[in-house]
Amino acid sequence: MIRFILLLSYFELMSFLQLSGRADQYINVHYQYLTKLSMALAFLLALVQLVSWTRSGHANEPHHHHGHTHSLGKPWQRMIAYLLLAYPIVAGVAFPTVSLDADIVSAKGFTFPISEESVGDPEMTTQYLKPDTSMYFNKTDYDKRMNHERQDYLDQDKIKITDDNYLTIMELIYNFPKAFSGKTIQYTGFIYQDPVGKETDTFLFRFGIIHCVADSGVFGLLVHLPEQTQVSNNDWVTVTGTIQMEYYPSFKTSIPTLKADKLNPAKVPSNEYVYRDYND
Amino acid sequence: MFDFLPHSFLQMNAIFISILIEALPFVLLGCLISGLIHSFLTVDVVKKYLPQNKFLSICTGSLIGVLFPSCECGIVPISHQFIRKGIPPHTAFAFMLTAPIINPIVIFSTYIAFSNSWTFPLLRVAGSLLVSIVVGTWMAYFYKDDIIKDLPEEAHAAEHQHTDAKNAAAVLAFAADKAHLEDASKAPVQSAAAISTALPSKTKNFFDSLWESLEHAVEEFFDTGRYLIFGALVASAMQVYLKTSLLLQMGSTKLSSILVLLLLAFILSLCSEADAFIGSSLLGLFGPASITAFLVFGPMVDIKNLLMMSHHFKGKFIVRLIGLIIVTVVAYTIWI
Repeated sequence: MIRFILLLSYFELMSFLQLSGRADQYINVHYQYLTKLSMALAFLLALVQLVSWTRSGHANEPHHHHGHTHSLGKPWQRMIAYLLLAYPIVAGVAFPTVSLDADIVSAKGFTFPISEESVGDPEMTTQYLKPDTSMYFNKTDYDKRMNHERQDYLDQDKIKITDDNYLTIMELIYNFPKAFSGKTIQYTGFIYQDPVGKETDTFLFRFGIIHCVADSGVFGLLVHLPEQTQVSNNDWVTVTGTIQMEYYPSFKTSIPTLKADKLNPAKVPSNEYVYRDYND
Repeated sequence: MFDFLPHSFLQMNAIFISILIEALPFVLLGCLISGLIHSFLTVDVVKKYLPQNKFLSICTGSLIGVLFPSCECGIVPISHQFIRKGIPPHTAFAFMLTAPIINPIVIFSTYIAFSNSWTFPLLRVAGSLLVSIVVGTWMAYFYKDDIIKDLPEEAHAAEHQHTDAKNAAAVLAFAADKAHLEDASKAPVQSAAAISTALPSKTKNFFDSLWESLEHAVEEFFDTGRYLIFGALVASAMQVYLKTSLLLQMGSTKLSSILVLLLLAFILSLCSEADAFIGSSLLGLFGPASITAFLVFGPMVDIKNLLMMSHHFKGKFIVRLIGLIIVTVVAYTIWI
């Protein structure tokens, strides 16, 4: 009976996440078929368990059938197994949902996609940090698509970044930093301060979900704030500024950065994540 | 109600739930497939279709994963079931190591992650085939000990199986005799006929078997599920509480950066459908050799996968298996 309840709870947990819209706090919207698949399979197994439980005459012991063995023999082992299996249901339904923030950035670190263009001074770059980019930048569909998208934004001098185009534009800026140099952009994110020696580098990031929260990472730019601006980790702000190229010692390469002219506090968005879009 | 929980714990929880959402459907599918194998795949069918030559059998195992759109979570119960059904361990492991990499879904996501380029998908597939052939050969010709754990509770069930195995052995001996007499080229046709006649006598009724496979899937889920959950908990705790950012600063030589990324792949325990995106973001920092190592090693050995393996297979064997995988991956990627 416990097994039936557990399996049914998995079905309900998935339905709950789906219906309450909380699933997008865990997984890219484009992958939500996974929750539906779990729902269907857990429901099927719950039915199977219910029927076999009724058939077995309500015996408490999970019955053995020929050929198959399992190691849930001792009662305490079974208890632990059931407790473990019940944990996600409690955690998923009852615990408050939080989004990842600057604490995770400092634990997980961050990287930038370093492009052919941005790998700067060859003297400063070890052979190792300058991979042969022709290997992975083949001049085909990808370039065509990127060039096409780039053209749309290159015609604009002021670019406003929204939730929907966030990851696309960040990718473009890192891929074609020179083309975007001098352009004015405006975007919203949270502050992450990275202590480097005596200095502190300030970044404005968003967590981007590629597949699910476990593989999410931060995307954004190193920002030079106007003089005498005080910010701290996890502050949500909107900045407007100009893109420029700059040597970034930690990665021994040049990266695009933002010289901010204006900084306004922003409301924490209802969904703090941005998602990778596969439709384009 | 649970507002007293520390913020970092809740963040760990968010990562945990997301790993679970991602892995659960594949584990459930894996359990169902394992159930189907349990009920429908008979020992004699296996022996007839699988090449007798050990090396060819390893190659078959390495390639059959193309047909299984699964990531590494669902693959352990399936491989374990294969071994129970008389598929030689070297073949089952060749399957287990390559299936999460060479299936179309994973190849495609790797292709997308590396800016629509075929270089990394090809390096990844080639690497996984190399590892599976090395490991399979080692298991077939060099490692002679038992690899499957005998659980204490299994003792009485083993008696059941014993008679089963005897019958199977008798069938096999008969089949082998027959094979000797017959022209080899006719064998596939003959075996197909043999299966169709053998099936109804062996299984009472198709629906009974189907039901049995579903019941087996439930058993398998309760058996494997706890390892998945424990593994996902450990992996999410690592992401929150272990400063993996320190790892990013290591790796000054080619060898050390390969080793760093092997460790990262193990700790992050990413789904093989998603890890290519992380790999591509690290490319600038670590270079193609270590990224290839990350892509090949991650789906073969990670925290949740290791826990599931440790449930089915012996510790001594797992340690050597992982050692051999590491050596092979390093030897392969150091040339890239």
